[in-house]
Formats: sequence, C-alpha cells, structure tokens
Amino acid sequence: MSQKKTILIVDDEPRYVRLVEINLQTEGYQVRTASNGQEAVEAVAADQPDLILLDVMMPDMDGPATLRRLRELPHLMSTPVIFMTAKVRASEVGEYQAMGALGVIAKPFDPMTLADQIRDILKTKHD
Amino acid sequence: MTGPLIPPGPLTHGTELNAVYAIARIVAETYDTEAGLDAVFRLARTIFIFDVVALYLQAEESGRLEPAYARALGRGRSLEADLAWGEPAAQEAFRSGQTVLRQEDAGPAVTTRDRRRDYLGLPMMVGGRCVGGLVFGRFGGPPFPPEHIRLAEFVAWHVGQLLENRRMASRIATLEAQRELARMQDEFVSTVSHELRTPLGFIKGYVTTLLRDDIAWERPSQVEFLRIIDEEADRLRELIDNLLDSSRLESGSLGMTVEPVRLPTLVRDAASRNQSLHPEMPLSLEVEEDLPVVMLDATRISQVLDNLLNNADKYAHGAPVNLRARQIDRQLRLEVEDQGPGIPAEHLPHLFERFFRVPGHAGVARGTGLGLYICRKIVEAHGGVIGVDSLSGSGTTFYLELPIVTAQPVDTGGMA
Repeated sequence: MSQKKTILIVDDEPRYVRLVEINLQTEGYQVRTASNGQEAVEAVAADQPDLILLDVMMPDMDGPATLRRLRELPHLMSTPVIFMTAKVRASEVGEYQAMGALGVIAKPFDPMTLADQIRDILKTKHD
Repeated sequence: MTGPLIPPGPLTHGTELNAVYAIARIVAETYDTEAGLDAVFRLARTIFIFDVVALYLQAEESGRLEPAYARALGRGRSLEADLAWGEPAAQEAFRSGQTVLRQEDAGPAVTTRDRRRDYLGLPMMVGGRCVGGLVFGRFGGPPFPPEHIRLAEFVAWHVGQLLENRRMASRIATLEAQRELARMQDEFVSTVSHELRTPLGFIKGYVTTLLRDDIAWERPSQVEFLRIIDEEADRLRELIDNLLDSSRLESGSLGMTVEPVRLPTLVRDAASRNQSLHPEMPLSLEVEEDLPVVMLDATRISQVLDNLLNNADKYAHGAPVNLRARQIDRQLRLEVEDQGPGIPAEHLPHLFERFFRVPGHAGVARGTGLGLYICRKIVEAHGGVIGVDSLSGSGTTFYLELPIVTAQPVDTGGMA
C-alpha cells in the first residue's frame, strides 16, 4: 500500500479551507492547512507536500507572491501548485500558468468532483 | 446659409489691433463664459461705440429665444442697467441668419435724444448652427457705420467661440460624471455580487458535501457542517436586510417611528442581547440612570448599538468592551469603546462611507461595508452625529451624540 499523498491548502478563509480539507480527506489524502503565505512558507520548511492548493487573493502576501517565495526553496522548485480562484478567464489562467502554476481550480468548486479535477490537472503534467 | 460672419479685413489702427488681439486671446483661454463675455464686451467698447449689449439664446425646451446675458455699458447704464434690450433685432438676426439693423423709438416718455435707439442684431453661430442672436444697442444715434458693423461681426464670431468652449466644457463634465457613475455602479455590483456569492458558495458547498452519496458522515461532522450552513444563511439574510435598508436610505423611504424612550432601558437591553449573542465578549456597562426620556426610534437606535457591539466583537475579538450612556450638556452621548487593535488613522475618515471596508480585514472578518453607513444615516435622521476615535494599537471608541428631544417639558423632578 502506497503512502498517503500530502496536500497543503493555503487560503485566508477558514471555512473554505475546511471545505477543501474534508472533501480531500475522504478521498484518502493527507491534508495540511495554512491561512496565509507566511504560514505556507513555514509549513513546507519541515515537510514537503506532494501538492499545494493556493488561494490567489490573500492579504499581505497574495497567491503569486507566495508561489515566488516557495519556488525560492530548493526542495519546492518542482512541487506542483494549483491556484484556486474565482477569476478564471482564459487570459487569467494563462497568467497563472506563466507564473509556474500547474493549473487552476475555479471557486466555488464542486465537492463531488474536486479530487477528480486535481487528478486531471496532475495527469496533464505527466502526459 | 451661415450669414456674413467673417472676421474683418486688415486693421491698421493700433487700438483696434490690440483690442482684436486681446479678444481672440480671451476666447482661446477662458472657460468661464460670464467672465469671458464681460471682458470681450469691455474690449469691444474700445473699438466701437455701443450702450447696451444683450445675448439671446434659443431655449432647449421651448425653442424660444431667452435672454442669456445683458450689460449696459454706456448711456443705458443710467436707465435700466443690465436689462435685456433689442429682442426684435435678435429675433430677426436669429431667424434670417443675417446681420440686421433696426431703429426704434422709445416713445414720448423719454424726453432726451436717447429716445432714438439703434440696434444691431447679429446671428449667433455655435458649432455651425445658429443658436441665438447678439444685439448691440446705441441710444441717441448716430447709427452704426459699416466699419462698426464689421467689428461687431468679428466680436459676434468670437462670442460664438466662447459659447462653443462652454458647450464643450459642459459636455466633457457630463461625460466624466457619467463615467464616474458607471464606475461606481460597476463597483457596487461587483461588491454586492461578491458578498452575496460568498455565503451562498459556502451553503452550497457544505450542503453538497453533506449530500455526497459516497460518504456516510459521522454525526459531529454533520453538526459542524449544518452549523456553518446555518450561520452563512443568517449572514445572507443580514446582508439582504442591509442592502434593503441602504437602498431605502438612498431613496429616503426608510421609515422612522419616533416615540418617547427611556434610554437606560434601551442601552441595558442592547447589552444583554449582545452579551447572549457573544457570550465570551468581556462587556461592561456604564449608564447614567437619570437620563431624560427622549423622542427617538428605539428599534433603529438599538440597531446602531447592535452593529457597533457586533463590530467590537468582530474586530477586537476578546478585548474588553465598554458600553456607555451619559448626558453632556443638551446632548446624549452613547459610546462603544473597545481595547482592541485600533484602526489606522488614514482609514478613519472613510469608515462611515457606503461600501468602505478597512483593507486587509477580509481574512479576519467578513462584512459588506454597509453597517456603519446605515448607522450614520440612522443617527443623522435623529439630528445627531456619529463618530470614531481610534489610535492604532490602543483601541477604538465609536460614539453617537443625539440632541435631547423631549416629548413634553422636562420634569424637573425631586421638587417636594
């Protein structure tokens, strides 16, 4: 039996974090949470997640700024990061990908299919 | 047909040249039509003689010519200064698009030579369209000679330019106002839709999660999700109430029911109501018991106190909160003081504006930016003021000052 994959969720809205967390735990993922960019940087120092779900709009350090900080850490240079945002026009998605995000999940997400969406995005990376 | 509105031929006279140059400059530089016209006619009078000048413009609604500007600069001054003269000449010039000369007799009431009046009417062209007539009047002769008519036509052409400037300036102002209004409406729509979507998104998300047929949620999880749904539904209802209040305030239709109120009771009720809503809030109460009975809308003032106490719990969570009511001179002063983190000074002037939210609070507490705006409107409807004192790092005090309006003469009390 393979080890559980770890997902780090970064979002400043606790109810959103909780909603993502419960729906991914039931799919067999190990979930860790951070409520801002600084906490995310601290969380990855000890332990490297397999995937990071990153909110775009956060006070102080927003999603893109957090992504830049994370990419400066040698062990996180290639960790897949997916942005979660309500702004999902094609041009905006293109910008997130240019910043180094693997993909984008639209807010609000469908709890039924969240895990499938994540698997689809991860799969495109390996194709 | 545009009429003979051509600038005059070469001018040789030094004074005329200077005046003509100055008129052209004024027209190019001024956007204040009234001041521009004053200056142009003052200069015009140095190059040809007239006693009165009047400008008639076509009114947009009626289509009739209405006096827009009139000055008496010469002999007219002593008669009926600044009255509009020579309307028939203006009418004729406006209708024909041609320069017209009219001679009128002021009648036997005028015994001096001023009885004879010469009017020079010129069509007023703005943006290629005839919009009115300009009239120069001369009392007591001699009639306008051809060279003065040419100068008057030159002046009329420049007055048209001044009006064109004004038309452009007001058009630009209108466009800017429309753009600002559209921007505010866009912002309103996007703020409101975001604020409506957020609780709705949580309700939908947690309900869908509860309904997942591949998972049997334990009872504690079910309760956790249902509690969130319950709170978000409350939040949605509160937001809709606020939106309705705020739009009623904008249209002036928020009803106030003013009645005699015992303020100590109202304040104590607000304290116990909010204490039970926020059991952990360290709330203390200081109320002067001998406050006079005043006329106010108890429901609306309670709504203001609820909002301020709820804010104290939200933004200064866990910090001591003090609710005070006292009389200062002929004012009642209510205060909600917290010892929380305070509000940066640069945000204080905007706190009571519609939709304003202190930046960076999105993660700490959600809100619409309507609550304090509604509070201000309610307090203002009572003839009072609402304000805030805050120092970043050392707490915030919101206060309302209400004028003491008594139902009947104040009972002096205690007089045995």
